[in-house]
Amino acid sequence: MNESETPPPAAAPAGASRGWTWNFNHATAFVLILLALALLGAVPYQVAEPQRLFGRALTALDPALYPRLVFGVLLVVAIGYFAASGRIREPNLFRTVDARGYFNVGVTLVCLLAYAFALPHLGFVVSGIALMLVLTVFYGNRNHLLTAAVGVLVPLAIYYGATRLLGVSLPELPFR
Amino acid sequence: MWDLFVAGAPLAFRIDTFVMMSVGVLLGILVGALPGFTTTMALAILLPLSFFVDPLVGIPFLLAVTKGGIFGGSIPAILVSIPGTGASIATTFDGPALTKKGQSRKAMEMALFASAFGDTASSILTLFLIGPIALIAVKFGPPELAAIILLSLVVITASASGVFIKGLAMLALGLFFGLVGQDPLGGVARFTFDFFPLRSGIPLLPMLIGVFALPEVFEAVERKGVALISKAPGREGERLSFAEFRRCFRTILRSTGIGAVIGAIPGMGQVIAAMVGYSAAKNASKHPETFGKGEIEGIAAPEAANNAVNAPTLVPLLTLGIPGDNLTAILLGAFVANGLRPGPELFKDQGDLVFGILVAMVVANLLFLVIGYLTIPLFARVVTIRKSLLLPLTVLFALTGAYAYESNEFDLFILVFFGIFGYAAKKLRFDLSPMVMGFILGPVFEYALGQTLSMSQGGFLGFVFIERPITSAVLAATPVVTYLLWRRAAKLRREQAARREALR
Repeated sequence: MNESETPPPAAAPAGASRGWTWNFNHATAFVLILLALALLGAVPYQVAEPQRLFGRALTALDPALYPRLVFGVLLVVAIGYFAASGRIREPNLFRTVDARGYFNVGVTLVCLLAYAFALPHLGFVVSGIALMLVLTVFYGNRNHLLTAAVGVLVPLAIYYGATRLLGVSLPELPFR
Repeated sequence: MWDLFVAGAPLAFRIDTFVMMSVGVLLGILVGALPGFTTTMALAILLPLSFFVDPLVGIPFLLAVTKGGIFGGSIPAILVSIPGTGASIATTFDGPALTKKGQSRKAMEMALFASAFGDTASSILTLFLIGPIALIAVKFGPPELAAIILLSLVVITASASGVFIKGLAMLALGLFFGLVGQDPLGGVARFTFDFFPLRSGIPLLPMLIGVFALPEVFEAVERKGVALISKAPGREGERLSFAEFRRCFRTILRSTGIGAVIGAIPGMGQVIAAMVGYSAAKNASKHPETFGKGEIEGIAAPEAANNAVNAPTLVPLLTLGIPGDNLTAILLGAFVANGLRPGPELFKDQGDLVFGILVAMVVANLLFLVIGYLTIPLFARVVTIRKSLLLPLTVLFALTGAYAYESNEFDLFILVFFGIFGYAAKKLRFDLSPMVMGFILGPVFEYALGQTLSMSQGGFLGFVFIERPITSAVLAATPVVTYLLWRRAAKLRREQAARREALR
């Protein structure tokens, strides 16, 4: 529970008062406040009615009560967070990533999503091999023999190990 | 009880029991080390094996699988920040940082020795104190459980790194994620947005793998390409020294006590024990700022605590017939299939057999120590793999683990969502542990709260504060403990600010 008292980020506005600065924590807290309000408003629509017998609920705790409690706590905490944000001195680490870094992360994410969509259609082995080959080459490995060997053998090993030894179901090869 | 112990202890010393326990430990480590393949899954698959052998062989075999599985989960947690089991979450706080420093082998050795010590000490404690522990455990009902969970959540949040209010925000978000799906009391759908895959809630392991492993991958790839194609250090890392183990011994003892107490309470389990053990170690440390940055005590504490749960968790099972979690529920099946009926009559009718099993459990820890030590060099070689291969392997294992949990494609999207969430949270300087604990404990807390309301029959406050003294004491302690932790953190903050001023 420590406030990191690192020096203020370089982008801090000039002339800002020493004790209070507008920073990314304000924006995050504001988003959390909006989220809490939205969730509180959504409770009547997102919590199904409990089963009733002769007009009385069958459980002691109304299923909507606990969510209201949690979202109420979130709202109070988010407001407190907003109020305290001006005194929190910590850098926004998003600013330490350059465009190339975001590109690398973005490509990784696209590969993950592509795998998630492809898995049920192409099977574990094919999609696993494709994922391994793409990522290994993208991350800079230039030993193509090693790339091919690892990229093919590891998904196959996992497939046979999981399905034959552990009895886990993995999507099958598409051409059977 | 003593005569039963004397009669039962020699029954455990059999060659077939030793062989099966060794096999069980090895299988447990291997399964635990695979993300997404839980110890519970391994136990469920191996349970039928216990039907065809003597109870003194079959049940110790399953117990050995549990021990190996809990330790095995720490291996990917240390090497690639993927918790192999829920009990290894806290190990991801310091394990990967130690791996980056070239100390992965040291971290795994500490995890092994702390686990073995915690498990052995609590097994011996259980052996001799099973009666009194059962008498205390029976006094813990839903009100006590709810109060202890509330205290645990507050302690874990207060001990998390970063600003307290941000920790509370993450805790609230975790509680929200935990209530998605069906409410634990009435089975009513909540916040599923009419999306059928969400009806059973957000799955735990894909969420954990996403939130802990994927941000590490993203942070590794966001650096320039040169760092990815460069070779790994090429050495397996430093070994653990006796001096380092001795330095952590007090932490291990404390965590063993925490794990033993938590294990005896039905419904708590290894995850809570590991997190509370970690938080306690951090709060007791003279240098809490080193936790989360590669502190070896940060490995010793959760690993001792989560293994120390194994033996005491059998107490409510054996004495009252109450399984405290999924693992003990499977063990209950094993006991029943072998003709042992857990409950108050068990010790009267088959006490020597039960003590034989408990003694075998102590012996299993020695086998676990030896076999675990022999497997560490194999796993330690993982860090010698170049990053351009290790990262795709990590991603593939993360995806496989997420899918294998319930063979559900939707879990992959959960993994990706929480990967993005975890990455954003780290960049915005949020600690993820309160969120994870809120997610895990939220439904348990709500269930216990609902049961308490039912038991109170309208007079909630009177019931809790007058009829349940343990609950009252825990609830009274919660704000006190919170204040003490906050005050300590504020003092540390002032000291750090003063040191920085002095350096300027």
